[in-house]
Amino acid sequence: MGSNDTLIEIENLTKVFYTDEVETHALSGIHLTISRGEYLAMSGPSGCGKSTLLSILGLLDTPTGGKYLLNGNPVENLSFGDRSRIRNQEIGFIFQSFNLIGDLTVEENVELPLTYRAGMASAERKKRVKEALERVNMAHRMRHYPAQLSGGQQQRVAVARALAGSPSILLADEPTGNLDSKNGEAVMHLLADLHREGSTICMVTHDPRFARHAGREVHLFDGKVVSENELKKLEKEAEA
Amino acid sequence: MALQNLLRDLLYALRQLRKNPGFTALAVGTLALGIAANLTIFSWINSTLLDPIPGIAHTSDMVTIMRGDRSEHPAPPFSYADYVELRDSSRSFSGLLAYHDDYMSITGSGQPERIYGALTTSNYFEVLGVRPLLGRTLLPTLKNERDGVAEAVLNYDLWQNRFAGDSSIVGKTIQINLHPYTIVGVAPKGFHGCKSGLRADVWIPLGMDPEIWGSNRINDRGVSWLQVLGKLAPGVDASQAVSELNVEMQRIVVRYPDTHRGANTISSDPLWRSPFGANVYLYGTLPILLALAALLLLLACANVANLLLVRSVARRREMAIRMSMGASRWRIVSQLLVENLIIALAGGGLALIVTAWTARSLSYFLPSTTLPLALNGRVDGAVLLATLLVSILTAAVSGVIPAMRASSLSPVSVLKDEALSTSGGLSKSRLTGGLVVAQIALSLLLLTCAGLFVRSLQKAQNTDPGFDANHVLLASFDLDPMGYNTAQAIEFDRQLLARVKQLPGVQSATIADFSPLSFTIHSDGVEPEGYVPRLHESMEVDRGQVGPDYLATLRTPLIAGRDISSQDNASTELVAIVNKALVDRYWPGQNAIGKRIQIAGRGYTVVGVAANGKYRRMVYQPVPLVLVPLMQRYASVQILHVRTAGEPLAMAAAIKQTIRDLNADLPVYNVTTLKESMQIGSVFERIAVAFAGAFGLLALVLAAVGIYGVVAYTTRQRTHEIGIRMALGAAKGDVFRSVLGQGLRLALAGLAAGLIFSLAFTRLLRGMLFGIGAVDWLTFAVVPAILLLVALAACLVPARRAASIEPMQALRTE
Repeated sequence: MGSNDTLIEIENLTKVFYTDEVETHALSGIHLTISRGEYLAMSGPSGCGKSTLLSILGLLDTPTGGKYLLNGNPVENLSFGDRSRIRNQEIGFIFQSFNLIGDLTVEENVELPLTYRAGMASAERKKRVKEALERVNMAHRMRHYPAQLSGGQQQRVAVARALAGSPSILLADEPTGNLDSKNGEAVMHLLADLHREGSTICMVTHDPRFARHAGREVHLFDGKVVSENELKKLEKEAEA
Repeated sequence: MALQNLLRDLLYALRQLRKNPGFTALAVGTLALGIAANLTIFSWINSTLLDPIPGIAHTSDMVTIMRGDRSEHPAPPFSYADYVELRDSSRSFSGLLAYHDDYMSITGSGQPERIYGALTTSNYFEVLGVRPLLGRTLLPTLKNERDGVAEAVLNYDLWQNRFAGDSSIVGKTIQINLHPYTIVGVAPKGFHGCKSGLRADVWIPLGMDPEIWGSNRINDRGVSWLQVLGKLAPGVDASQAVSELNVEMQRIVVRYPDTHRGANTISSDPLWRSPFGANVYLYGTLPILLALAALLLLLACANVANLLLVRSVARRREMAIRMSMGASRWRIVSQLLVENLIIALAGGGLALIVTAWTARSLSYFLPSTTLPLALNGRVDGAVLLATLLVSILTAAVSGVIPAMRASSLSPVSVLKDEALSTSGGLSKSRLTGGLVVAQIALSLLLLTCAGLFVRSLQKAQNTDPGFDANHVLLASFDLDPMGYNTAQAIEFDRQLLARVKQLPGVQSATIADFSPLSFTIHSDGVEPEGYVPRLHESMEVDRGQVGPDYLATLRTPLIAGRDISSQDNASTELVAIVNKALVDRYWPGQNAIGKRIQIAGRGYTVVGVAANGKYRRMVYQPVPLVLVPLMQRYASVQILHVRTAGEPLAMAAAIKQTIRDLNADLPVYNVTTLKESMQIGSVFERIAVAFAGAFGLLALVLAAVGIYGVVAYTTRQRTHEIGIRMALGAAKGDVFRSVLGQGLRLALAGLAAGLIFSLAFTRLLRGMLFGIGAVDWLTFAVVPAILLLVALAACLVPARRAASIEPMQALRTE
């Protein structure tokens, strides 16, 4: 069991995919701890397992083996319903492709996770939505639909949606992947601001420029956590 | 160039349809159902309302002439003398014919064969423009019809069936009701006389009435027994012609007031709604059924349109490539319409095959009856043309919107396979959703109509008909063709009743010239003592000629006085029983017993008042009725009514044997139960229930398939969105409720629209309903509830499927 500052603790985490009698080891014995208020970047080449790890951290997927403690509670074997509840209350997702719902307005998109939270009054929801949108400077576009926004604006709305539920951690999967460099930088500054305000962030990126915004960087290669030097060496070997 | 394009489109469309056999079969089958429903009803309309007298060249200038009050079952309105004066004075008609039809028998060789024949004026075939297949028709030059000539024209079917199509039949003799007639001709195939839906087997000059039925009606201005048809002169319209007849009729009324009391106003009807024959019952029912069938087809079109919309998504890339290569929007639309036309024509072809069978289904609803019915649909040129037109219309209705939609895409974005930054789209599912709403609304309307018909029939069947129809056996016979005179016939009846009553298991027995609810009751003009008719008031009431103990045998309650007894015979005072409706109408608040009533010109004393009963159709309200003793007013055609302790048909053999014991050669017809015989009295309601019910059920299935298809399709389209929702914390229940809610919203919108349509449309059914209003709250509550349940059930599978999606898998779905 970790200290009070430890938000996430995983031990010997594995994930194996089975397709047509072929075993694919996406994650092989991952050990990782994330403290409250930390800004962590996960990087590595394509297929190294960083998105799989992020999905497991976000309870979108379950590990094949190992331990996963969130807020000190084991979450690796929870039911679908419990995972949904914890995902809704503890985790905020920011996706590479924004994943806003086209038929909902900006306001409704941000409100969406709160509608899945039982017992929250409508006025409280509206207040949180407004605050979240103000934090990302998108309150003036509340009535717009996603298709009426630029990519950068859409990602800021996605960030607001992740923030609205006051989650324990923001999980960002390549948040700048679909943005031009200017908008990418803006989103990174936004995440940095949120971190300064106390948010815990775990971000997947393959861009070293953006990884440098994080306080700590974890490198993954072939489903394992490696040091930066090891990663460079392994990448060279792979290229050779 | 255009032809080449069309040919290319045709070939490509055939290839596409062959490549997608599931889609093709579903679309063709759905349209075939809708088209077949329409063709079936149209085939009936075509062979009844549009062709009321098969075999005559033109029906548009023919009208039925009516005198007096209008009702669904008028008595023949004219005497021969009146007819002659009207015919001779009229300039608006190029011809006026008159006829009287009834049962007769072919006698002379072996057992008499009961047929239905018509006594006609000599211009009958000439006015109708019917030329004989063999020989000639009745002599049109015959001046004094009162004398008559013993000659007959045979119906084609009688010639075929009885005389094996003997080509030398002309000049031979046929004996009818014991009198010989020279066969002068054979009518063409398909011509059955001029009463819609009824078949005449033989046509005989009017002047032979005394020989056929022993009557002198032709010389009595006071007896109305003829039905009249007129052929309008060129350039004359019906209202003009009727005005002319009315002027002449009023002159006749002034000259002969005693024989023209009551209503004398002349009116006319086109043959499609002639008050004589089956059309009077069909012209209200069939157009409504066609309207319901059209709604079903519209529903099928909506289903196919939805299928096409879904398919158009799968073909976006193909359309984008075609457009990028220069295809205009019109070119794309026309290509898709050609595909849909092939589907609709295939559906039409399939529907035509089905209709070849269903067109004849009208006769399946007709119970075994002695009525000479000639009712059925047929597939002919008009039905073939209708198939083609309906198929083309169907292709347009179901195909235009999907084709326009499929051709409205932006080829650049489709070909770039643009990355989706958002999930869903505002108008993506609006069209398919709108179509489903329309489907549910139409289904509700069809089901409501079906529900109203079912409830109406239920009400009618649960209504007390005024007699106990259980445990009553009927057997018909006709004594005249066997050479009985009136005294002999009455003695035969007396002995028969005495013997039948002695049979073990028989509780009581009587004889009548009709049986209830089988279209066999007659009517007569009456003059109730002390009642002064209003201007033009019809004094026609239902009349039955009945034997002793009629009310007791039928268990019709006697309110006052007595039943007909064996003492009521030719040597005693003429007596009658009236029903309560007659008393209420002519002698309200008075004691009817002892009052005098003139029936067809003869005075009767009322000796009994019976409770009201239903004698024509279950859906009619009780009307005035008089019952007179058969022993005082003899009728040749008689129906024995036997009330039995047990199963009536078990007594059939004993009853037949009893009749044979009295006369071994007397043919006995239509031995059946009263309950079975009454079925004809609700035949049109049962047709309406069967078809409206079938259309309603099909509509329910189509609506269920439609809503399932759309919800399943949009749910699949929403897979990524569902993944997002799950990532944000939506539980399985949230997803399940969301999908179910989507279906529920569509269903509720459809139900709301359907209720509005139903409230407006069902008013048109008011005249066809019995015991309920057009807004029957039970129907309006149960039908939407059933539809809602079916809609929810249709959404369950896609909702469960959506709820079981793994979030990661859903998020990966584009």
